[in-house]
Amino acid sequence: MLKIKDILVDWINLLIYPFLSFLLIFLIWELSVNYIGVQKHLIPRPSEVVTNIFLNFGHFFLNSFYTFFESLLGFILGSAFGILLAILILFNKNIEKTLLPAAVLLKVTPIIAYAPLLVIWFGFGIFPKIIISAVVVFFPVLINTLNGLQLVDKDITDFFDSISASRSEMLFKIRIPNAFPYIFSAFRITLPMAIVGATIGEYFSGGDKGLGSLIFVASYGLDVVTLFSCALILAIISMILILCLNHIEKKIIKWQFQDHS
Amino acid sequence: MNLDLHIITKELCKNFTLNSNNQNVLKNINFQSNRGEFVSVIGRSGSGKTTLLKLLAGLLNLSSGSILINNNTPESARNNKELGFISQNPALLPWYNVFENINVALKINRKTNQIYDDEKIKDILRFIKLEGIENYYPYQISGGMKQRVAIARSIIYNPDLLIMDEPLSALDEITREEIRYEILGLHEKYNPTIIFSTHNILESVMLSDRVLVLSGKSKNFIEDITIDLPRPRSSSLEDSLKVSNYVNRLKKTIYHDR
Ligand SMILES: Nc1ncnc2c1ncn2[C@@H]1O[C@H](COP(=O)(O)OP(=O)(O)O)[C@@H](O)[C@H]1O
Ligand SMILES: [Mg+2]
Repeated sequence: MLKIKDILVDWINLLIYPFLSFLLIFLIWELSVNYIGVQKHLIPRPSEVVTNIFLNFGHFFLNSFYTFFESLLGFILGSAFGILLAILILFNKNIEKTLLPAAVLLKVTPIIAYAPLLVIWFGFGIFPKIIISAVVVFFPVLINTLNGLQLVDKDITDFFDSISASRSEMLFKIRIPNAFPYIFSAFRITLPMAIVGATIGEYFSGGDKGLGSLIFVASYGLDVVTLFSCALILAIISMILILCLNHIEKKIIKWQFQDHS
Repeated sequence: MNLDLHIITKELCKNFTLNSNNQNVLKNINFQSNRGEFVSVIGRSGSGKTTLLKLLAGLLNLSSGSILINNNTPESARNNKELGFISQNPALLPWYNVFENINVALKINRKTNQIYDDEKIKDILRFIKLEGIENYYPYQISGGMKQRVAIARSIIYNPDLLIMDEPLSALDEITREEIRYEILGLHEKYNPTIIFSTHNILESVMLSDRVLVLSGKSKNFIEDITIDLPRPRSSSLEDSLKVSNYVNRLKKTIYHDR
């Protein structure tokens, strides 16, 4: 119980200042729409956006849940493949020569280009969105993991060599833990990207489920209130996931956060 | 075959190839060391001390010549955990605490015929003043403590040869002297063969049975002197005439090696 309390206190400390600055922005925004005469069909008042979310809470919650779930699964899948391939490459350089060009090709192609294809091939439902999300996550995780596995201090490998550690002993005792900080810095970039991937997948599925689909429908109806609501919710989902990630990171890589202990 | 010979090198040569430039670092080194002997290698920086010690530890491949350790290759000494290598940088694993950092040396490359004696582990921890900090992480302890952990990690599995490459060079003067005499004590207690490099001349004299001077110019030893001082030794010996004579002689040799 004490632990949960600690985490909450941590979060409140972390969130209080951003919350205050958001409150200030919303206040200025609200007042300028009201008194300076910004056109309401272009920019709604924040109170309208928030009211809209609360009035349609069930609707937004269900669609957010889809987006959240697809992003998370895509993130896990893409990360798992990235980490696994990095380990395979470490053990066999030929795999790098064979698979890396394909991975680079996938990376340099904008998702906008293949997202519709995946939707056409795999149809509606959550599967294509998970795949799109996984694809955008995969590459940065692969590259960072590979760096982390390889960039081990020479004096450390010398010590392990001096007792003839095997390759798998090196992998589990030094290379993988050494890669943790690298992997987490990839996660901090790919977690929001996973949400973008899932949302784009939903967008191309048209009036299906998820916030991306709501954005698709609302953009045709020029429904700025819904567009703003979706943006706000997506930002909140990203924030929550990033905070969870930071928390896990601090628990796992204690040695990188010396000042906190 | 002399059973007391622990290390024998014959016409040992080492070249490094950098950008298709061939650089000769060690040339025709013939060197022997007896079992239990404490040998220091001194020389200017860049003279090849690290290269020589890594060759002996089997961490580098030699270009020509041969090295025998216990009548076998350095690789086989490594595989049998017969040697310990300690570098200037303690190179601890940041994700392990002190105990785990030491214990990992026992877990890696486990030998069925190797007996690990809890009493000896405790003894070493006590001797090297690590008692009570077993649960600390490397980032929580001083540089001197880290180097003590590195030393403990390389003696815990009972190697009969310790190769120490400037293990004290990164430390402040006071800590350096403390650990110097701890190493001396370890040698007197467990009597492993020690090959120790340093650029501190007094240190080499105080610790060693023999001091070798490595020259970057001739790429070989230019001096091999036996230090005839009684053991056990203590720091009070540092001010003796005998020690300062050795130091002066070695200083002159190194000074003229340009
Ligand atoms: N991996 C390497 N590649 C190329 N040259 C090297 C390498 N390691 C050492 N050298 C060269 O070998 C010489 C001896 O280096 P080293 O053994 O580190 O000397 P010391 O330990 O006495 O300072 C230096 O000139 C250095 O530049
Ligand atoms: Mg050196």
